[in-house]
Formats: sequence, C-alpha cells, structure tokens
Amino acid sequence: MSFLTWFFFLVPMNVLMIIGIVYYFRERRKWS
Amino acid sequence: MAINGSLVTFSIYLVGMLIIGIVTYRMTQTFSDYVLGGRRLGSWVTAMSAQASDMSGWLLLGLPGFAFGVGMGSLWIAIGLATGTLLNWIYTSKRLRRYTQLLDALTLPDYFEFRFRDRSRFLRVLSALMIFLFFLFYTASGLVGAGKLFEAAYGVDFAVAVLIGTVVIVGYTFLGGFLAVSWTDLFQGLLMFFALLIMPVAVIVYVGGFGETVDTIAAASPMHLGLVGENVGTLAVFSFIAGNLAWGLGYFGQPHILARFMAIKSPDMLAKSTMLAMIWVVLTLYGAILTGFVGFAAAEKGLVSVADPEHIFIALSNLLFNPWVAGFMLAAIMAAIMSTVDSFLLVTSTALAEDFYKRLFRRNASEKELIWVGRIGVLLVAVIAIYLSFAQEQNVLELVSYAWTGLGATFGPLVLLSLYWKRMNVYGAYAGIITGAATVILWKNVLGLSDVLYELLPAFVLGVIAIVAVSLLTPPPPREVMEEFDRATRPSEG
Repeated sequence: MSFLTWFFFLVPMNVLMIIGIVYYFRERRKWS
Repeated sequence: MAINGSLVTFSIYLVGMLIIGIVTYRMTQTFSDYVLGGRRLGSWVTAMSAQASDMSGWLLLGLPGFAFGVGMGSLWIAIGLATGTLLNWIYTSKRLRRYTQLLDALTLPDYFEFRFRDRSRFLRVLSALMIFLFFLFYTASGLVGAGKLFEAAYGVDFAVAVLIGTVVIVGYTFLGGFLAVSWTDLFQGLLMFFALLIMPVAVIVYVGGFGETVDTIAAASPMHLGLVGENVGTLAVFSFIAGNLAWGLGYFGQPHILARFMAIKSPDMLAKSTMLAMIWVVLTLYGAILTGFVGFAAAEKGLVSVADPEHIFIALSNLLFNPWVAGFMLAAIMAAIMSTVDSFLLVTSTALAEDFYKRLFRRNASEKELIWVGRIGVLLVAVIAIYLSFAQEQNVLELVSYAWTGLGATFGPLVLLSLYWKRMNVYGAYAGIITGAATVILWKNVLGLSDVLYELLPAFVLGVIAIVAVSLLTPPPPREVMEEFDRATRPSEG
C-alpha cells in the first residue's frame, strides 16, 4: 500500500486522539 | 430456532441489561434523576454513554460495509466524525453543562427558552416538536435494525425479533430512565470497543498476515488502497472529501449526545471524559474501517461471502469464532443498536414529559407524577415506533436520512452561538432554526444538489450567517440575559 495512504490513514486520526489526551492533562494541571 | 452457544451468550447480555434497569429503578427518585440522572454521572459513564449513544448499528454494519465497498476512502468520514466529536467535547460540553445548570434546564428546549427568555414559548414548542418527530422515527429505524440483526443471525421471524428487542430496551429505559440508559451504555460501549479491536486482528491472522491481506486487495482492486474511492476529477474528489468530512458538523445539534454533557457531576470532570471519548472513537473507527477493508480481502480469497456488504461483520463473526464468542460479537452489534435506541426513546419521552406536559400544562406537577408521565411516555413512544417500523418501514428510513442533518443544521449553529456569543438574541435563534431547516430541504429536494455536496455543509454555514445577521439587525438581548451569560461562561466558576 502506498506510503501516502498509510500516512493519511494513521496521522489525522491519531493527532485527534492525542489532542484529546493532551487536553485532559493540560486541564488537570490547571486545577492543581 | 437452534439452541446454541451463540444464542446463550447473546441472551446473557440481554438479561444483564435488564438487571441494570432494575438496579437503577431504585436509584431514580426525582424527575431530574429520570431525565438527567440527577447530574451525577462520572467521567467514564459520561464518556462511554455519549459515544455509545452517538454510534448506532452503523458503526458495526454501515461503516464496515462502506469500507468494504470503497476501501481506504472511507477514512474521510471517520476523520470528519472524530473531529466533530473532539470539537463538541472541547467547546460545547463544559459551557453547556454550566449554562444548563445555572438555568436549571433539563432538556435542550428548556435551555433554548430560558437562555433567550422566550416568553412566546414558540421556541420550546418548535424545538420539542422537531425532537419528538425526528427521534420517533429514529427509534423506529433502530427497532427495524435490531429486528433485522436477530433475523439475519438466528433466523428468528422479523416480527418476533423486533418485539424481543423492544421488550428489553423498553424494559430498562422504563424502569431506570437516564441512569439505566447511561449505565447500560458504559457496558455496551466497552463491548463495542473490544469487538471492534478483536475483529480486524482476527481476520488479518486468518487471511495470512497483513502483507498477504494488502497484496490480495491490490491484486483484486487497487481502488481500495486509494483515498478517494472511485472518484475521478477535482470536483468529484473535493465533493467526496468535503461531503464526508462535513458529517462531523452534525454533532453540535444532537440532543441525545448533548444530554450527556449536561448530566456529568462536575464540569471539570469533562476533560477526562474528553480523553476517554477520543480514545474510544478513534480506535473503534479504525476497527470498523479495517473490518470492512480486510473483510474485502477475505471475500476475495473466497473465505467468506456476503450478499450485503453491511453484513460483513456478522459473516466474519460466524466464520472466525466459536459460537460462544460469536454470540458476544453479535451482542456487540446489538449493543451498538440498543445504546442508541434507548437514548432516542428517552429523549422522545422526555420531550413529552418535560417540554409539553410539565412546561405547558402542569407547571406544579409532583416529581412522582412527572417520572410516571416519562415512563408512560416511553411505552407510548415504543408502541408508536413499533407500529411505524412495521407499517411504514420505507417512510421511516426516508425520514431518518434527514435526522442527523436536520438536527445538526437547525440546532447546531444555535447551540454553538448561544454558548459563545453574548449578543445573540431570540430573533437570531428563530432565524437559525428556520434557515438551517429550509436550506436542507431546498438543497436536497428542490435543487437536488445532494450528490454534488452533502447538504449539512451549506445549511450549517447559512444557519450561522442567519443567526449573526438577524441578531445584529434586531435589538440586543436584555441586560439580565447578558449578565447571566457572563456568569455562565466565566472560567473561574465551577
């Protein structure tokens, strides 16, 4: 499978998931 | 009907759901408990409940079927949905939770009326009526889906199947209301999650490794490895990508999902739910797409055959797993359907009990009375939905194709701007609803442009413009509303 397909398949969705995780840790720091 | 392991595990799942209904029945004391779980959900239940309520049987049937047909091009709709989910959690959930508590609003129509001090009550009636109609048809379509699953998997007669599914869903929703619906969602969400993680891995191993899977697909249909399906030409590719991404815009106006945000114990707990929801949604979308994608390879190798691509998940379950495990896999599909239908059922009956019965006719009704009106509402809605699913199946499916778009286009801009723009007034709210609805109908039915571009995109944009323009052209909201907005949105107040 072409590299481009893999790149698009994995990167955007993973970035969204990582933003969700980072958001939680940033918010948590705000409370403490 | 053959008695087998699959049917046994499947039944265990159904009985488990009913037990949750009985337990939550005892926890439901007030009407607020019944409608919003008394705003005391935890992070996990909130996250799983919002996600499981959002993702219907489509996640395990429709999306794998789509990936089976177009291959990796199905990624765009997943990106659209995951983006919409993320933005909804980050930007809508916290403000909506705080604003609705400040206003003591239990439903979306409550929120609209109180937020804009709409004395005419027309905003409530209009939005509650829309919710009632769309969700009634949503419920009916969910029952049709549940019935077809039973029929396809166990050869049970469709009518019997719909009735069994309905008895279980209505049973626990009737008893435990929002708490039952949310707690069952927690287990149903986890069941869907693990089923969608296990399935593609099992198929890849069965087919002979990932390299072998991709080679098989490359030889049979190179289109499946590309990102744009069969579309050729700039316009077709743009419309394919933009149209699929635009599905994510629907999130801001879905009452059954927004209700989860309103029900969490504390606004600060929403950040953890956001994380859990994103992990859940991204991995399940991956799982669903890969199931269809590798299922295509299995079909090309002649290992499995499906008359309808949407049944690829069912066919693979029966092929790969022993009946006891296959029962769990089928339970996961049922979980996807039930976790959505129960929310529809509850939202519809809540519209009856809160928005019509209490607010318009019996302002001083007691808590017990309202809970029972809600419960009778669940039965009433279920009976009408069963009738619709038998007598009007075609019309049901027709109308449901409007529901996601219709709610997203009419309520979406309204919810977002009402939370972020102080100057917005009640006239803007009306303009947003009317413009969103009119654009969807015009675009789809009169102009027939749906094939060119999915109607939610123009409808959402025009809805936002209408709200801003009409609000600016009419007098600003009263001072008390502006001050209330400041109180509800000030970051320091929990």
